[in-house]
Amino acid sequence: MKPARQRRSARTRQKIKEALIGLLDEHNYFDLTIGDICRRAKVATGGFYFHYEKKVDLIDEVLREHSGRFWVALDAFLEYRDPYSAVYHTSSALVRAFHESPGLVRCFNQLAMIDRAYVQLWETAAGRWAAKLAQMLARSLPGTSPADLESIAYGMLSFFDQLLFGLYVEKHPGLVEAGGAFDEVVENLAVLWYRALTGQSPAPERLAYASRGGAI
Amino acid sequence: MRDAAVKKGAQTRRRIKDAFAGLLDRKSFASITVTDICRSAEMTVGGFYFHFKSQEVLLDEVMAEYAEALWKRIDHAARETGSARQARAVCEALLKGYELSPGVARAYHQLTRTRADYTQAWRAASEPRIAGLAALMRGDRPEIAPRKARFLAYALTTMIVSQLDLAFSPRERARAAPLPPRGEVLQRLVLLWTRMVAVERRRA
Repeated sequence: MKPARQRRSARTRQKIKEALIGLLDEHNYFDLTIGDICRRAKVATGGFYFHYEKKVDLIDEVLREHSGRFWVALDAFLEYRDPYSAVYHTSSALVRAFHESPGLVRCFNQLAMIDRAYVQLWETAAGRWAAKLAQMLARSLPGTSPADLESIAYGMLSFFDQLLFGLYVEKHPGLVEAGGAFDEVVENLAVLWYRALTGQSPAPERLAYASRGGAI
Repeated sequence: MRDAAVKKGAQTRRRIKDAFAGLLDRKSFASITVTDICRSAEMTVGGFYFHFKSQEVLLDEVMAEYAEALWKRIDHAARETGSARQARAVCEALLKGYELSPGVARAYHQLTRTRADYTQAWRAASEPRIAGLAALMRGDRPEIAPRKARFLAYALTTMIVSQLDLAFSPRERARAAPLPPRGEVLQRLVLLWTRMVAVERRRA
């Protein structure tokens, strides 16, 4: 293909993917048709079928790309030598993922219930991340065992997944009210994570909400 | 004569429910069929439908029994004095459900997240208990704001359920994830609870 055609082709793919992600915030994945996606993307159905054979091929690509980008970003935060910083930025990325694309997260969960491949995708990536976090923390926290840290880190990730699902996807009223603003949720989770891993609270001066009504 | 028939009916219902619970340990409830249940309970399909109008009705009854027992255990745990004892008692109350019947416990908690009627029931039942837990948090840490205490209460309960879901998930899943052995699950729950609540680390 000539370069201009390649660029147009890539743009079309991008438009289709963005259309699906946008639609997922308003509709259930299973209710969406290829026609809906094409209308939203302003792409002809023929254009869709040039790139994707079925709806499921499209969502698979979207989920794998998102997932890949998410875990790569999380890996980058492990470069922070300071444990609280690493945990804080990880918490921020996690909360943002749920807050910005609840529809995509809901879709991932629904598909994970019927296709084990998505569960495995998450478990493998999460396991790898937990191991790396544990190695990083064990260096800064003498006397801790990486195996314990890994187990706690993985467990906490699972737990936050469920809590954030309740907060941003199901929008459980009591939880939404108690959670507060985005930044507050990020800090709450970061503090809880840090405590779970180290057995200590982060120094108060590192917390934005400690002064206004106390930390969690 | 009639009493004996009623008694036998109750026994059969129990047998069906136990068979269903056993199947839930190995399969997801979506994949269980009436034939599976009948084979496990050693009865005919006709016999099944005499006792339960549908598989849905059976599921709802088994889940209702689980939920009732769970809330009873949790309310009993809430009567413990001292936060350390309460923490352990609440963790044990949830753990017991998973130990007795992991399939039923997993299915129940999954249903509370996926089916609207179960979500509503769970929220209605858990709200007062969450409020009680938040009050407990404030008792130990007077400086914590009420809203923060509520978030902490939600966090603690979600943490326990998610840890138990992981610890009691089917073997192939457990292999992929690093977890403490089952005997140490309670220890791990209490450790995480204690750390998250940070009572000892309270600044003067």
